[in-house]
Amino acid sequence: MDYFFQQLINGLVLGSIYGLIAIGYTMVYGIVGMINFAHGDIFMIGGFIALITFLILVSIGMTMVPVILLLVLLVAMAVTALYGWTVERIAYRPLRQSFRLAPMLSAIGMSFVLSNFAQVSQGARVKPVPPIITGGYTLHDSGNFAVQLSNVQIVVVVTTIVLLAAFTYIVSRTRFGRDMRACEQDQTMAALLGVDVDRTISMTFVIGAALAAVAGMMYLLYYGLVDFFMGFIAGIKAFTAAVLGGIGSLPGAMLGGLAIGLIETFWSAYFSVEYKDVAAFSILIIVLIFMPTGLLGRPEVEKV
Amino acid sequence: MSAAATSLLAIRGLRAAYGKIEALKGVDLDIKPGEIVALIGANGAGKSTLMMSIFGRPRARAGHILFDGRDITALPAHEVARLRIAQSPEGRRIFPRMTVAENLQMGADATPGSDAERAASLARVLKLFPRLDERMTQRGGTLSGGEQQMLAIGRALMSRPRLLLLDEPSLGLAPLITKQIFAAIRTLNREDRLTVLIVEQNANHALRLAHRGYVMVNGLITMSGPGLELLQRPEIRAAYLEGGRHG
Repeated sequence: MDYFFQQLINGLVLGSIYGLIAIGYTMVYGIVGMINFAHGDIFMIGGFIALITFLILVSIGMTMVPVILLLVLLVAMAVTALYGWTVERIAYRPLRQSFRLAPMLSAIGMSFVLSNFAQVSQGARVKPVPPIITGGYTLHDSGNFAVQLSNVQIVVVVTTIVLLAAFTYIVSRTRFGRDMRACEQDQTMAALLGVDVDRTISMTFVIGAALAAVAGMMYLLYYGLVDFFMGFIAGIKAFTAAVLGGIGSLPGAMLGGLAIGLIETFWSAYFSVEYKDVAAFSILIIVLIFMPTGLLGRPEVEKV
Repeated sequence: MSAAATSLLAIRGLRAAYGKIEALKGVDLDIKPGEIVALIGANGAGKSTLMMSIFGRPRARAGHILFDGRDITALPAHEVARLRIAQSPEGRRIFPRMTVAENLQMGADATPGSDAERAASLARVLKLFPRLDERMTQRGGTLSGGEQQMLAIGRALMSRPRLLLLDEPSLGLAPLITKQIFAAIRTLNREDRLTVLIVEQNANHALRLAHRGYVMVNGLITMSGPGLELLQRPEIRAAYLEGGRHG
């Protein structure tokens, strides 16, 4: 039982990271109907920006860990958001009136550009960092197995919850959130009501990238490393999470993220680490066979 | 240009096309402040295209659109909306997954206004369409056709428009609901001096409501004049009333 609880904790932490990335996929799909294949690489960029900011802050002699973390978070969100904005501006917007696959292909191209850019500018080797947040709690010790909750796990989960609360508030209560949902449901009508659709779409990419940056930073804190290729597999997992939850649904993305994180962790713990990806993708296939729109997706047909 | 100077909306020689198909072939139309103008014509004559082209969708290939003397031909749609031109478009285009309250809020957000002004427009809309008041927390997509039409008009009114564009407000509605909606338009025009352009296939209703009317055929205006006068013309009766749909 203790072992189970330990895996539950680990799975929720991993799921939080996937969920934060998945929101970016689902938001962009909702508003422009494309899969932003470069989003995983935006997450990777976020991890690198977090690492670089951290190293700079430490090298100028900062020692207070909470202040460092907060600054790293803010800088990573801001700079990565700029990447997200730029990618949309140069690679997707010019293709918006083009055929449906064009921006998708462009996204795959951007994915290569970003990962190669990171490889060339930062080197191909894995970049490790010493543990920044140390310590933790032993929740339960049965003698031969102790359930551990580390401080870094607490930081990951709490940060995710706070951001999700803020994000949910923005989407459901603010004018920007309403404009975003309006663009998602009917762009022409939104424009007729004074909504600057291009600007709203840009902001969607900015928010998605900022959340991916947080995920990148959490990944860095949790695993203690980043590399130029990490966006690929994390991106695929998060995309799977978004589809599993129901692409276009924001709570679905988070739920899907948690589900993928838990499936992967439990499979690794009880069966085999080698086949954890097979398990995650198999669950996706099974769910989609019975629920083609995902767990929380809505059916395509609407009463109008 | 003297007519254009006194018009709230003046359209001059407007041409617009979807790809190679020219939908508007040089349209002239004037709406004076405080007027209700009806635009009638058969399906596919270009009525809705004309209404949408005011917002640049499709963008004019030639000609001009002047609003209050200002050339808005090249303005993006969202900036046209901010000039207080509101549209209840073809197919109503309610946001189906937003509540009625949020749909109305979207209308209010289209133009700047104080909280008091917004509250006043909301009160006005709910007085005109009390049905919406009972549906405030319901999603737009769950409303009946008539309620959606009321919501589409209400949403347009929330921006406190100087010009209201109505595209087929009677389409698919029961006669009683149509009557209510037309009564509301008349009230708005009389009490608030709201200027209205209404596109209708239901020529009888529209021409009775309007001060003036235009008849559109194949992307061109073929006739214009006071509403009741147009209604008396035999060619209009033959084409749009007798044997056609009756209101």
